[in-house]
Amino acid sequence: MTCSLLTLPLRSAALAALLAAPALAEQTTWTGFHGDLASTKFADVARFTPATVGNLVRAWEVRTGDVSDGSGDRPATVWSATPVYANGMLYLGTPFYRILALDPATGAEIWSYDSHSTLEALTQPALKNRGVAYWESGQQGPCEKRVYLGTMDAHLHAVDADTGALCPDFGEGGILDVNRWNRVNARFPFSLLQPPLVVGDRLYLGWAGKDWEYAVAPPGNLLALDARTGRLEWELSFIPEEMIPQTGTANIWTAMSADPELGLLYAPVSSPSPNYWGGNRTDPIPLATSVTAVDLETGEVVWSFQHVHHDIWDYDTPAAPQLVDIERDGQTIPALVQTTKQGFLYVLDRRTGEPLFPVEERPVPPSDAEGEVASPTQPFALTPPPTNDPFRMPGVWWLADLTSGGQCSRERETYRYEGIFTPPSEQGTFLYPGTAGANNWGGAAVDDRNDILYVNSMRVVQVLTLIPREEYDRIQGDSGNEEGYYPQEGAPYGIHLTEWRNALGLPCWEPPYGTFAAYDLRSGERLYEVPFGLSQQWGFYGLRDWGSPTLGGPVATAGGVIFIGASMDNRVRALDAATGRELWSDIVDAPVVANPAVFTHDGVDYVVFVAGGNSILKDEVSDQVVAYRLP
Amino acid sequence: MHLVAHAGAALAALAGSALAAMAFLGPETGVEGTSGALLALVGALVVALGAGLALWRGLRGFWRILLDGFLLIAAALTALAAWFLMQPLLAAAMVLALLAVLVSLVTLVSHPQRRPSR
Repeated sequence: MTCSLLTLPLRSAALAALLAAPALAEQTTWTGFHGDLASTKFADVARFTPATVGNLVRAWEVRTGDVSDGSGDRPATVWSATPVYANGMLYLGTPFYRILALDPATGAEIWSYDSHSTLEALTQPALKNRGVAYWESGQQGPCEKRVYLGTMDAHLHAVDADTGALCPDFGEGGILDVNRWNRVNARFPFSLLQPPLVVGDRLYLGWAGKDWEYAVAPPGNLLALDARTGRLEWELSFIPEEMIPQTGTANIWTAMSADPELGLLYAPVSSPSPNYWGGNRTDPIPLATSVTAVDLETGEVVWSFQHVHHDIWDYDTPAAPQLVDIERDGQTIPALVQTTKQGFLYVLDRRTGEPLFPVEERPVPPSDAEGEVASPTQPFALTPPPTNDPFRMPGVWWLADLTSGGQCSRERETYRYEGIFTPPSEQGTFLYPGTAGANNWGGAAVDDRNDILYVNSMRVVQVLTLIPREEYDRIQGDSGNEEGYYPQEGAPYGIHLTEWRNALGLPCWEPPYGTFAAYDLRSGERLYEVPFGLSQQWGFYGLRDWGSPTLGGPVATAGGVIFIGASMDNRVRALDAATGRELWSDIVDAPVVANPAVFTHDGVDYVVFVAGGNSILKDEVSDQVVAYRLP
Repeated sequence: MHLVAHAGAALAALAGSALAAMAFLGPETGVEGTSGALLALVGALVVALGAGLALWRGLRGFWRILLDGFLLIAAALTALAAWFLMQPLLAAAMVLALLAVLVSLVTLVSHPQRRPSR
């Protein structure tokens, strides 16, 4: 908790007053993973208020049948799809790579489309899907409205939004083999797990790869495709040409944002390969681990802001930036907020990439790994205050230490930690925030009426150990979702990554494990920060002050309510935007790691959650979709 | 009196067992399929069976104190587990069972039964 008891009520009152600003016209659609092109995750629905959300009821519930816990022949599923509400229907992608079109009022299936994609975990530890994209031409007729679904094996399917029939003019008979553009270092297919961004009549497409496996990998690129035909219009590579033979990735695996008025797309670019050793890529890769503004028409880079130099922590840019116009000194500044795995919140002028709050280049520790040359400095954005402390990791938790006979204290002295940018080492390095980040694909929500940003964060400590190649080849073990052994083939080191837990499985670090916070983007001030969610071990819940690790993001609404899943306790919640206080919750089948969708259909406001689960939070998966409304 | 108390404990623990089974088997209890919920189910069943045994065998003296002491601990731990599983009804049932066993113990202490004289 960072607010004092005296100031919290005052700040809450100020925030409540700000939230009382008149609502804009009612938004009726939810057209993408983050709601709109600006990725604000702001729903202009006013009927959900702190006074009414306690009355929420389940409008309907659907089970898609597309789920696997990995115990059979089929890989486990990881489902973080946010439904798209458009064309009067609700569209969902599933981890078995099907599209479902549902009636938003009843959940009844209108049509479904099966891509018959291979159900093999070709690049990821699990079958993943983060939803579908929607496009309409503005004309009438078949395939003038389309839904797009990507697959793990690099195919993009385009179907008619009214019927689910393939659109024959797209790719070959409605299916585009995106792997045709996987021409260099093609060690794995371009996995299309995140739906493309649709701006005008173009699709903008990134891809996911096989993280942590190879030093040399396909170079990250952004593909601009004709929405009607799938024809490639331009391609932008994020790796300098001369570096491509020795490295790769720096891809876009998450959602993107766009400002059509400025003609810019904002690309969250990930880290280059291999992720935890950079001796093969010591020359600068300026676009890696950046938010990069790209001309929507030409693919030219207009500006780029690198928030980790020479990334050796896998601190990918994990989410689309939130585009918000900030009022400052009587001026309106078109800005963006980039959430990061590090917990820094970068507020930039989205026309130029210039920071709107100071960003300091600070010296960081050197690496002692073979061949590694860590960057001597890294950027620190201390205003707004980071969601996670970049200078100090959480202390040893007395309960875990006590129950393990001092194991945690001993390990605290064993592993290396000198602040957030402590390089990976053979000795073992504490990663805080862990590789899943303080913030991940859920990003933040922003209320553009008052420039308040809402964001949940995760406080997890991991231990990363570089293992010399010979030793790695001897001892390599299983790998899982963001933990275990990974080879980094082509590098002198494999890695082992694990959460810092004691022999009983208790976290060695002090709670809270997750928080929810609000920030005033005009002043850069944090308005409140509260523990969020409930952690669970063996079914037992932790105390409320401990919070929960979080994956998935919040949605802000005009009525002053935040909707969010994201916690490991299988709950969906409504929070008071003014204070972060929990107003309502319901239990669902598995953790909700996608963003909720909030929209108005036939005059009724709905909030829809997909409870898909993710083993980063806990080993529990589901195929459940739940919609809520007021009675 | 102790028969009534043990009957009460058995009934409360039986109700607790049913609630624990519902929590373990789900759906959407938040703890379905977890080892914690299974532990609570086993705890509630043990208390129910133990109280039933006390009723059936009409134990006295040392053996009754031993059994009641065991039931007291089992009921308390199960109630605690239920609390941390966020199953308030189960916790309440096990607190009732605990109170009933406590009544049995109190009656034993205040009215000690003597061996019949020869």
